[in-house]
Amino acid sequence: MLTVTSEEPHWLDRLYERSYRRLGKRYVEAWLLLSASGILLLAWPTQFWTLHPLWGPGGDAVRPFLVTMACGLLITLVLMPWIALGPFRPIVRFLRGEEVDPREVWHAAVRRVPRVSATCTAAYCFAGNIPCLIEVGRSRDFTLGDYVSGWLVASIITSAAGFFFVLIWEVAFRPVLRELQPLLPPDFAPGRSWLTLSRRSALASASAMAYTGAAVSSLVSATADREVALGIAVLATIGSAVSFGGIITGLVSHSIFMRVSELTLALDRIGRREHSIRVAVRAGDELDEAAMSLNRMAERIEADEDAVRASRARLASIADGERQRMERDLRRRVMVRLQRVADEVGQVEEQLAQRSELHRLCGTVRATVAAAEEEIQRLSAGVYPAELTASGLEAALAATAARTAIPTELRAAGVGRFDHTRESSVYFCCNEALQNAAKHAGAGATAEVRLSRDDARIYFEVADDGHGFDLGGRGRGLENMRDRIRAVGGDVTIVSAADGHGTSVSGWVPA
Amino acid sequence: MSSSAAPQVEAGASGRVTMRLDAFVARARAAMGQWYFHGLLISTGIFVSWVSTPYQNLTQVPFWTHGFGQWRYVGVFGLLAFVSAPLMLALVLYPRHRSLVAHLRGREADPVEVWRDCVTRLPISAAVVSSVWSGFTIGLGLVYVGRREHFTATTYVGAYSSEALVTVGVAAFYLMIYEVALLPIAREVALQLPPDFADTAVMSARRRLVFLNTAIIFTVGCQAAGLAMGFSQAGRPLVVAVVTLGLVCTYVGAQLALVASSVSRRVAELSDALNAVASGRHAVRIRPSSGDEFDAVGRSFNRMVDLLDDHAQELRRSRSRLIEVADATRRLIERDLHDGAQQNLALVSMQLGQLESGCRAEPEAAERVHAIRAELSEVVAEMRALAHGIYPASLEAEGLTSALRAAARESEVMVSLDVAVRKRWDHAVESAVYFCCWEVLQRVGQVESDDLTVRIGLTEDGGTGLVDIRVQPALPEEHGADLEQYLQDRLGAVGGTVATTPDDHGVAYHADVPTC
Repeated sequence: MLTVTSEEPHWLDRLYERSYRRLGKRYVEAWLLLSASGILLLAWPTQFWTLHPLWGPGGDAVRPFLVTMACGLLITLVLMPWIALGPFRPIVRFLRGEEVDPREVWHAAVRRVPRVSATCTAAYCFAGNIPCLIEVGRSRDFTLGDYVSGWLVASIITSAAGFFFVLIWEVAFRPVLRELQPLLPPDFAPGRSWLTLSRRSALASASAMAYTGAAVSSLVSATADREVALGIAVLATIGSAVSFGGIITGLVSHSIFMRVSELTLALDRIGRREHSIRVAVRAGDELDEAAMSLNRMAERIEADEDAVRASRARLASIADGERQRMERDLRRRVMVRLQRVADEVGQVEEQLAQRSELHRLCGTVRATVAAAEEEIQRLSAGVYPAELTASGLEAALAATAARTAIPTELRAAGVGRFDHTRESSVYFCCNEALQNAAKHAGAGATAEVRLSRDDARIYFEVADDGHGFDLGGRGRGLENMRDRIRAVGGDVTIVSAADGHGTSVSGWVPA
Repeated sequence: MSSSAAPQVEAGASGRVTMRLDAFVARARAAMGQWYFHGLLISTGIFVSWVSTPYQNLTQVPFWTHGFGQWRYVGVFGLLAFVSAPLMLALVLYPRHRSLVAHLRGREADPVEVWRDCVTRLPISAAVVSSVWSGFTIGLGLVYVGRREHFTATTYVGAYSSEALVTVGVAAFYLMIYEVALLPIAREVALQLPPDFADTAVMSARRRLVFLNTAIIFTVGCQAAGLAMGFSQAGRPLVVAVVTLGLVCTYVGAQLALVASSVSRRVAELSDALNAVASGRHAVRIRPSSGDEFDAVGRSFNRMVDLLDDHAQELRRSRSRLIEVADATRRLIERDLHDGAQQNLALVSMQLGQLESGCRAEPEAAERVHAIRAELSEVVAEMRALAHGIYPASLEAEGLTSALRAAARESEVMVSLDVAVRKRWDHAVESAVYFCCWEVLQRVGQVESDDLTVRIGLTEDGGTGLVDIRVQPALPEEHGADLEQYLQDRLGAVGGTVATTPDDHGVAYHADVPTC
C-alpha cells in the first residue's frame, strides 16, 4: 500500500517534520514544553494586559498580575502535564518504539487532541481567570455582574486560544501519523468524529472573531479620546486579523486543502494505473469519507483489473491447452491406427506380389494413406514443435531458426526452462516475428534471435536487417503477438523503419 | 453523465444548512423565473439601503459622538445608500453579467461566459462595486458627519478606515450570497461546457476561506469596538461580553453556510462519485462549479474515469481478440482436416473398395482387405468426432442450434435441448456459447455415473441471449468450480455474465450475453 502525500509540503509541515526527526522519542514532551512556555510567556500575560483597560481605572495592576501569573504557572506546570500526558501516552510509547496498538496511537493523535485542549482550557478558565478576577475586582469594587461578565470576557479569549492549540497540535502530530499510516490495518475505519469540516471551520472563525471582538473592545476602553480610540480599533483589528485570525484560518484551510490536494494526487495516479495508491485517513470527518470512498474505489478497480487480467491469462492458456489436447488426440487416436492400416496394406501388398495390377493398387492405397498421414502430421505438429515441450524454448527456437527461409542466428545465454505458458508465448511471438522477417525482409537479409534473462524477467528479441515495413497497415499479426505476451504479464515492442534499417521485435515476460 | 448533488451521508449541521439554503434558492428561482438575476439585484439594493448600511453605521456612531444620541447620522447614511445602491447595481454589476441575464431569459448565450458570470467574475464584481460604492456613500456620509462633529484630519482617516474594514466584511457577505444564489445556474450550465474546460478562479477555495474569515474579523473588531465605545465605563465588561458573543453568533451562521456550500457539499459530491465508481458505475462525471480546488479534484476524477475506461476496454478487447484467434485457428484446423486428411481417407476407403472387389479371386487377401476397411472406417469416424470437437463445421454454416444438436447426439450423457432462438447471433457469441455447452458436456462425460442429465435452454430477449444450463446431479466440487471459471472467462470475453445457482438436485448456470 502506498499513501499519497502532497508533493510540495507546506512550510509548516516541513518545519514540524524536521523537528520531529530532530526530537525523535521526546517529541510529545518537547512540544508540551514549548506550548507551556508559549502560554506562560506570551498568551497568559498578553491576555491580562489586553483585558486590563476593560476593568476600568483605579486599582492596583501589579498584585493581580502576580496572582494571575502564579495561577498560570501552577496550571501550566502541574495541571496541564497531568491532563495531557495520560491521553497522549500511546503516542509517547509509539515514539519510544514500545509495542502499542496503532489504532490507539491514531486515536490519541487525532481524536484526543480536542478533548485534551478543552480540558486544559477549562482549567485556565476556572483556576486561572477566577482568581485573577477576584484579585482585580477587590480593588475596584466590582459588583457580582462585573465579576461574571469580566470572567466571561476573559474566558472568551482563553477559549479562543485553546482552539488555536487544537489546530497547532493537530499539525504537530501529522509526522507521527505519517509514520503510523502503514501500520494501520487496511480496513481501518475511524468512525465519525464530532469535529466535522464545517464545525472545525466554524469554530476556527468563531474563536478568531471572539478573540478580536473581546480584545479590541477591551483595548479601546483604555481611552476616552475619539482619535486614539479609532486608531486603536483600526490597528488592533487589523493586527488581530493578521496575527491570530490569520494563523487560525491558515491552519484550518491548510488542514482542509492539504487533504483535498492529496485526493487530487491520488486520483491522478490511479488514472496512471497505480492502483495500489491509497489516501491516508486523518480525522474521521467528511474528507475521510471521501478518502475511504477513494480507497474502496481503488481496491475495486484493482480487483476488477486483476480479474480481467487473470481471465485473459487463463483463456490464453486454455487455447494452448486445447490445441495440445487436439494434437495429442490426433497422434494417439488417429495416427497410430492409420499407421496400422498402412502396415496391413503393406502386408497385403506383399501377399499380392504376383498380381501386378492389384499390387499397384495397393501401392496407390499406401501412397494415399501416407498423404493423409503427412497431412495430419503437419496439423498436429501445429504451432508448437515437440522440442518446446521436451527441451524448452532454446531448443525449439534453434530448430525454428534452422528452418527459417533467411539465414538466422540464435544467441541464447543460458535461459533454461521456465513456466510452460510463458515459454509457448515467447515461442509464438518469436516464431511469428521470424515468419514476418522471412516474408518482408527481402533478399539477402539475415535475422538474429536473442534470448537473455535476469532474476525477474526473460528478454527476447528478433531483429533483421531487411527493408522494414510500415507498421500502420498490418495490425493483426502484431496485435496477436502483443496479446499473447501481455496475457502472461509481459510486454513487447515492435520497431520497424521503412527506410531499410530492419525490423526489431523485442519484449520480456516475467521469469 | 451526471453526479448526484444530494449528499449521500448525513453531514450533520452543515448538511442541513446546505439543504435549507438550496431549497430556498430553488424556490426563489422558481418564483422569479427569467427575472431571477433582476430580483437578486433589487433585493440586494433594498437590503443594502434598509438593513446593512444603517446597521453598519449604527455601530460606528459612538466613535464619532461618544454615544448613540445622534441617530440621524444613521438615517443620512441610509439615504445615501438608497440613492447610490441602485445606480451601482445598474451601472456596474448588471453590465458585467449580461451573459447570465441572456441565459436566464432564454436567449442564446455562450455557456462558458454564463459559467464565468456565475463563478469567476463574481469576486471582481464584488470588489469593484463595493469600493466604488463605499468611496461614494461613506465618503459623502463622513463629510456630512465630520462637518457637524468637528472632525480633524486624523479623525477622518480613522473613521474612514474603520468604516472600510467593516465594509470588507459586508462585501464578503454579499459575495457569498451571490455565489450561493448563482450556484444552481452554474451547475446547470456546466453540462454544456466543453469537456476540456478548465477555468480556474483567482478566488480558490483556500483563499476564499481565508479571505472570508479575515473579512469577518475586520467587521467584528470594528463593530465591537464601536459598540463598546457607546456605553459608559461602568458595566462595560458586560457590554463587551454580550456584543462579542452576539456578533460571533451572527457571523458564525454565515460562515457555516459558506463552508457548507463551498466545501462540505463538494466533498460529499466527490464521495458520491467515488462510491459510484467503487460500485461499478463508470458513467459518473463531476461538473465544474467554482473554478477552485474542488474543480481540480473533479477534473482529476473525470480524467481518471476516462483513462480507466479506456484501459479496461483495451484489456477486454485484448481478451476477446485472444479468443477470436484461438477460435479462428480451430476453424482452420477443422477445415484443413476436412479438406485434406478426411478427403484422403475417403479416397483410401474408395481405393480399398476397389482392391477388395479386385481380390475376389484371392479370398484370403479379400478378407484382410475387408478387415482393413473396417478399421479404416473406425479411423474415419474417430477423425470426424475429433474434427467436430475441434470446431463443428455446422456452427458456422447452420448456426448454434444445429451445432448443439450434433454435440448432444454425440454426447454420452442425456442431453435435452430447448432452443427458442430465431435469429443468428454474432459469430463470436455463438462460438462462446457453443464451446461453453461443449465444455459442460465434456466434463459431465468424464464423471462416472449413469443418471446424469444435462438440460440446455436458449432464449433471447431483445439484444440479450439467455443461456440456461442445468446439470443434475451437480458435478464434484473441484470440477464444478473449474467449470464455472471457464464459463465466466469464455462468456466474459464476449461481454456476458454468468450466475451459478446450486439447488437440491443439481446446479444451474444462467448466462446473459449480448448477441450482437
